[in-house]
Amino acid sequence: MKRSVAILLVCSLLLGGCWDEKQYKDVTVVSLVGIEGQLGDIKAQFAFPIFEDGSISYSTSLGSGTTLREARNDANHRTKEGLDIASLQVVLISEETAKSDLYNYLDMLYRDPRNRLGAHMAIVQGELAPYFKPSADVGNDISSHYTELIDTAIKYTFIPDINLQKTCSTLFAKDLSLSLPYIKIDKESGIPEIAGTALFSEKKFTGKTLDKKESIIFNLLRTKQGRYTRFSYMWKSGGKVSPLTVEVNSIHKDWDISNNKINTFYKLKFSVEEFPHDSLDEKKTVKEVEDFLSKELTKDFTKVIHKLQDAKSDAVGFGRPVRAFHPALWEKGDWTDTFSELDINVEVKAEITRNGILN
Amino acid sequence: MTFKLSRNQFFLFLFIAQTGTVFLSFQTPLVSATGPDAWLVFSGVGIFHYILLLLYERNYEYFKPGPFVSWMYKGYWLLIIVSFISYIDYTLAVWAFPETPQIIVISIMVGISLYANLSRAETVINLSVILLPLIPIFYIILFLAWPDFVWTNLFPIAKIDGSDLLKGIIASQFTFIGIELFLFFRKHVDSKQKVSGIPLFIYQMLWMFFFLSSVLFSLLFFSLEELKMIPEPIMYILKSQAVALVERLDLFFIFLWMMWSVITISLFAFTTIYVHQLHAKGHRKRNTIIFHILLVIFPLFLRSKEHVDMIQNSLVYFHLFFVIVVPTVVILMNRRKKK
Repeated sequence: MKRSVAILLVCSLLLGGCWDEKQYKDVTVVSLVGIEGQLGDIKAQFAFPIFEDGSISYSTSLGSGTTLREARNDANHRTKEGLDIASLQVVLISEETAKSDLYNYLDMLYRDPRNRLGAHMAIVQGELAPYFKPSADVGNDISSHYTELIDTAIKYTFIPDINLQKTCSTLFAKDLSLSLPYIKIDKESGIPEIAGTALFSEKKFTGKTLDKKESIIFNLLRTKQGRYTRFSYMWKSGGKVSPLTVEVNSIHKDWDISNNKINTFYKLKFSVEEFPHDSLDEKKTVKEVEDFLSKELTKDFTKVIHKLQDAKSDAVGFGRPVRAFHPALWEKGDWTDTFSELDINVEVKAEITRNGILN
Repeated sequence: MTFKLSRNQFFLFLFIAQTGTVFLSFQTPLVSATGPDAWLVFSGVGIFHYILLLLYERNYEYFKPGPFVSWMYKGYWLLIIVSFISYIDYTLAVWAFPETPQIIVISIMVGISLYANLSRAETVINLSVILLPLIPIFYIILFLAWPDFVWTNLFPIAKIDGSDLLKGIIASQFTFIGIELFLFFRKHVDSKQKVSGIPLFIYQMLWMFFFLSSVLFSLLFFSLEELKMIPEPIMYILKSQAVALVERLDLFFIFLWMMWSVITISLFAFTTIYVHQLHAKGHRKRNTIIFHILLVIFPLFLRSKEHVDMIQNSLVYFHLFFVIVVPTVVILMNRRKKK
């Protein structure tokens, strides 16, 4: 008898969920959300799958309101079932909207325990509408298009790997600025594509972006590599010219921080992917290539740092060791201001460790 | 009520009673008060916990509370259980059961405690064993957040003033709740098994590892400003982790925590009834049922977060009284009587 009562009691724990049951037939699962407008007048687009005649197609619903929640409620009036954003895959935010405090638009997504925090985030150039209905054919599932686009870009180190959780976390960090993938629509093809990285300063989009190559360098500055990180240059040495493509195998950083200066040293190990000039079995050529890469990369790394300083965006995270171990520098004033005026030197040393299957 | 505890049963009983409900939420007030120093402050507080255990071990034989002191402790534990149930109910309403009526959730939790407490003493004592395989799983899941940890968040250190230090020490006291059970159950431990020395030190290390690691995880994962907004940081860390096949690890964990907390409640209810029976004659079943009815009714008055916070904040001061002041007085009086 007692055992039966115990089993019943334990099983009754499962029944507790009956009140909170949500069936798929009662909700519309939103996989892509777009936010534009300004605080107090937010416009939000929701993309979701619809099942008709045994096939899946995607539809969108537009809503507006004072807050994102109200915009969603407004969009609900145009859908058969309630919009459910618990399985959100991608959040797109227009660049104009991101120029004001971004957290104001994300609080609803971040606060609700039912929401998924792993959703991808991106800033889009221009208005949102064409991103939900691109003129070019990108397949039926528009949210999968963005998910795969971003996943691939992360794999190739084009953009920072950042989701909703990390976005909100970074927005509250005083020692690190936010950086998000930047997407634009290609004028010729009409296809949404990764354009680089959007730079933030103090919770706001600065309007400044890094292009794809700069984004790769930016990710290396953070020592956050995707699966593939490649650079291409026209190698020139003593009248010889050859295309050169290298892949980064590993990266090691060393920062020397003093009260008015940061010296950074990066050591990158490469494998050569493309080098028609060849002769990589000769130490002299290898040395020439390494010197060439060191020089070019030092130049490119420095350019990216200056761009970040110009945007007052410490997206690399120099502020982290400064806040932790260099109070005199940290307490000079607002970190983004200090960072923008700081003397930051970069030195990159390249080392060729693999040649591929040719010498 | 006669029963015997093995050393392991005793320490497991104590560990589950101390960790059950509080480990989900004590990190935020601690870190809010002390910032990156939280881990240092908690390490210091841990030493105090060990000193307390050593003092308890040395003097437990003199801890013989009379009926009045026993009633005080019963009132204190009732407050603890009611506060725990209210907090669990509120947290479950936020994370898992927003639509389920409060009384249903509370009745189910208290129902399990009632069943366990109407059974033999060994049933309640051994309930904690269910959690043993689940605790390592919980840790493995937490370690998935390792790549997101920011090590510089632990610094700079030694930046807080005396007032923040005091706030931090008080916030840490939540992790001590239940330590007084040592004094009540130590005498039931098999006399052939040694408790003092290495076993007690190992228990202290486990307690320390468990709580300190949760403070470190919270500090490493969140920026300070963000952490102030998040009342259950451990839940949020789990929520942000996604593994293949499982999208919402936090939902698995909330049920584990619920089970953990229900067992903690059962242990406190068992202790209350046990102490009551030390001075009452018979009617154990009736008293157990009445006590559990109170456990269903009282939390219903604490519906809002404000009420839950209010009672939890006051709990710390009651706790200091019942963990330090009352045992000191009782032990000193009994020592004097013996002389």
